[in-house]
Amino acid sequence: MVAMVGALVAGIVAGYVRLLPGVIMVRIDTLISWTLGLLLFAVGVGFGMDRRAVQSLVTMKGKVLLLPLGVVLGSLAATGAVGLVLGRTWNEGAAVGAGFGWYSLSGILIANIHSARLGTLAFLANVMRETLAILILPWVYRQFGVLCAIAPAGATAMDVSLPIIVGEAGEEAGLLAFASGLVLTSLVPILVPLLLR
Amino acid sequence: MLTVILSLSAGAVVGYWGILKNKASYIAGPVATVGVMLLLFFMGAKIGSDGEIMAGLGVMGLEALTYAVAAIVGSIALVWLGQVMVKRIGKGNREGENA
Repeated sequence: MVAMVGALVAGIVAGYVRLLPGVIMVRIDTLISWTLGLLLFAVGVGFGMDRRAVQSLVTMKGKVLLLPLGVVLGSLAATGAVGLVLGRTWNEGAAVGAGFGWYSLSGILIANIHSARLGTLAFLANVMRETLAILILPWVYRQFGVLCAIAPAGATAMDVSLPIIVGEAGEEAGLLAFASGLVLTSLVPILVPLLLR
Repeated sequence: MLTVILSLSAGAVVGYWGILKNKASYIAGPVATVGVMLLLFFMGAKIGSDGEIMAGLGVMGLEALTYAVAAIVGSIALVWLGQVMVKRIGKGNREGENA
């Protein structure tokens, strides 16, 4: 966990003080996508080799949906309440939470439907959700178990957080995380407009 | 999204057919560790170099952090609660069967 925080902070500082050469900075999105692609390839190899994990996911059937359901209810209730406390309406708060860590889409959606200010807030809050979810993952896994460790990752459980989940909790957890992340990813463009209607 | 699906399925095919079997287990661990660190570093660099994010952090960083922490705590709490309830129901059913 310390190493992960270190890598992230080093990146933020390097980006902020323009320490990295321009050649790298203009290609930062490509670099992120290639690194992620490589990591997900490794995760895929694990999935392919572990047939027992795939079978266990198939036997769980509908129960797989309980995890994303808990994430939806928990995220919306908590951010809706924060919205009320901080002087917004509950649904504005809940719309920020309905990004489930997918900051690019939730930020753009909310900026279009509602206002640039709430869009920026959603963008920032979901960047922080994604980052914090990754950083606390090992701790949450040890304290509360595998399902609770996947929950904070939200929609990012199917991509950015997936290699970290597999690294901590194994292939079976990874498949569950992927399924949950996929459901939550598809819910973002549905729930955000519904909440701000 | 396309990167995610393509990388995962390419990996799954390689893993399923055992193309990398022995070599993979040697290199997978270190590659994953270095890969995750690189990913976090690049993600940090993207955040740090984005003027809008850094300016936004000053204005509503604390508010955004409150939402992020709430969403995380809320998700963990509900999933934990759901787990406890499912366990109770399972236990109740088993006791019912035994009676």
